[in-house]
Amino acid sequence: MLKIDHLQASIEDTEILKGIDLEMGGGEVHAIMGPNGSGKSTLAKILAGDEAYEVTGGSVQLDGQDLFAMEPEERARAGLFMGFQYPVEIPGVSNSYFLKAAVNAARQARGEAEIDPVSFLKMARERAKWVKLDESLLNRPVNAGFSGGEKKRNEIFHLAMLEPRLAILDETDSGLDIDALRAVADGVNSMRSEQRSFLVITHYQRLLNYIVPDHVHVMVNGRIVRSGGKELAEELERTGYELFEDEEAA
Amino acid sequence: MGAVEELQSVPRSVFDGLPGLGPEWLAQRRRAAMATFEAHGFPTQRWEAWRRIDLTPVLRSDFATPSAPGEVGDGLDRLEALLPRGSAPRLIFVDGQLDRERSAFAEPPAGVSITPLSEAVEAEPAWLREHLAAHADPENSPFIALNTALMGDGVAIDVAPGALVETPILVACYTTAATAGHAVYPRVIVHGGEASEVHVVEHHSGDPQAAYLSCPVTELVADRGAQVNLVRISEEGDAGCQVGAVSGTADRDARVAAHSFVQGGDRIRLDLEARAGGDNAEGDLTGVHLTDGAQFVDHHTWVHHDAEHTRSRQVFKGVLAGRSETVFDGLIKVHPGAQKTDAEQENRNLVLAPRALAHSNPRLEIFADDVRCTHGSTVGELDEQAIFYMRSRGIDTATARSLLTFAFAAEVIDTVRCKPAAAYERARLRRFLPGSEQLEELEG
Repeated sequence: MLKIDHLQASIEDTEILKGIDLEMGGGEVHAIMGPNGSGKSTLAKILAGDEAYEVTGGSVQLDGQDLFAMEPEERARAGLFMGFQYPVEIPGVSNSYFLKAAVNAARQARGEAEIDPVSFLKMARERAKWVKLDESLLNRPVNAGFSGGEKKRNEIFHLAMLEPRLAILDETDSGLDIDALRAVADGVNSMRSEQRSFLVITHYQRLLNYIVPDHVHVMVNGRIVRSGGKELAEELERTGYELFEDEEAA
Repeated sequence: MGAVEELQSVPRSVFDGLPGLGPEWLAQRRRAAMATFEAHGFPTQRWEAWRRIDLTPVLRSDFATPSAPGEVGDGLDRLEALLPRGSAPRLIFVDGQLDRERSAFAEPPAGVSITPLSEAVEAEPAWLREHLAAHADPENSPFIALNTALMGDGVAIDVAPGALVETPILVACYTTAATAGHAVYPRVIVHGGEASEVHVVEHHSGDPQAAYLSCPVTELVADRGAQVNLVRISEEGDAGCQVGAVSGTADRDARVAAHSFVQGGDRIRLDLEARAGGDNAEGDLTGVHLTDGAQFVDHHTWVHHDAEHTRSRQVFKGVLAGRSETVFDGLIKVHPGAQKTDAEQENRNLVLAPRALAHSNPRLEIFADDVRCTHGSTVGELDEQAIFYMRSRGIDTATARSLLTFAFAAEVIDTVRCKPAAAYERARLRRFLPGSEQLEELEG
């Protein structure tokens, strides 16, 4: 469903991604691990369409479509979702108001009718429970005044409401205590299906105890230096990234 | 006689031609106002409080009022969306004259008396003698002086002590093409007796094309423990100018609140004054202006803390499109002895177009040492990160921009206690933004 072919990207003339190749099938969970500054968050942002980065080479296809020919909102409507590392506060726009607009934009793109308010509310209440998101946060402005954990749970709640084909989680685990981490993982796990793939970006192996990946990739200095199964994450936890940094240098 | 002197002499001839100035107490105040005007003349850009605004279109007026009101057409239909006929007492003024057919105020809510100013001045109740032309100071603005000297009809609203008047009272001033090249001077006074509460909605609009001038002045007086609330909606015609003022004063434990919403018009200048005159009094001035094209909107505020434990809040937000220009110039003045004053002032401007320009000038004058005064002022664009976040969830750029802009301005509108007025403003705001239909759906 996702095919990244020798992707290169830079920001302000600094090359960040130096040729990434990655292929994901439907229903698969891939984890990208790497030290700070390895380019893993850049990859997530480029896939979502962040215009701060310049794609200098390579291509990405989502279900056979050229991702870079699509605007960020078109990617979202085609089923791509990115959970932000730093979710943005939107004062004055209520969470449910915002989500209803997002859900309806996706439905409209699929040629479906708008969701009726009663079904929307029922769905929102049910899925907020998946991530133990307090129902009162539905009527508060998006992320405004939310705690760190609430923001991340809200991201997974958005994911649950938008039902994407491909969900990218950009360091969703950073800064979470164990309860919030479990709530986030429970939310993701209840969304796992044959049709839905996940690209989980993380610095730590911890999250992968709860969201068990099918494949793990190690990214160092803008390149994927090694790929393997879930045991690779455990190995990393023992050895640290230094080993791979050496490997990359060699 | 030079051009400037010639211009300054015009109001005097209008004043001398007035049929009468009312009872002697009022005539004195009006003569004094005329003298004040003549002492200073029209403002120039050398005057600190008037340096940004180009008054050229305002000064094209001959400052005389039209002899008879003109045609309204369907100009007042929009009031049905604000406070529909039958839902609230209403006084409609056309070119400065009370339109009795369009008005309905014979059966006011319990505890309130609503009288056309021309009649109230004849009856001259004690409260009116005490307060009319006693608060809006001609020294503060030549246009307050002109309104006081040349005042047309208007309304006197008096609320009995202890009366809680929930039904808002609508005062609408419509200026037709008959005022093109002339001016009107509507005058409103609201007096809240001890521990009473009242809500007044003023609506100012006019002919879509005519170059008229409206110089309205409103005085709000809140006796001990009273709450006097004004929502002032300005929707002048494209070539219409308005130079107006509101002056509110709150006695001990009382509160005056004035909210100004401006959309439309060529030049709009409003001087809003709130005085917390007694201990524990509160003054609340808020505003939203939405500007486009070549409009110029100028909100000046003057908040005075005269007593202890007084509070004030000022929040003004501007949304600027086209090559419009706006001014917010706001004063907090804490007078000697006004200890424990708690004053806030905030001015935020959202500039949507590269040629639009917002000026923001907070002023603090503090002559007491145990006070809390905060102010904040920003001129900025929409948050690109927020736009990207919304797009990444499937919301297109135009809708994301409209949603953020709507939220920005609605934050002030939502603090308006008079719900029909707030709903009306939200609808106006939606129509100002692209994709208003979608915004409406989302609200429902």
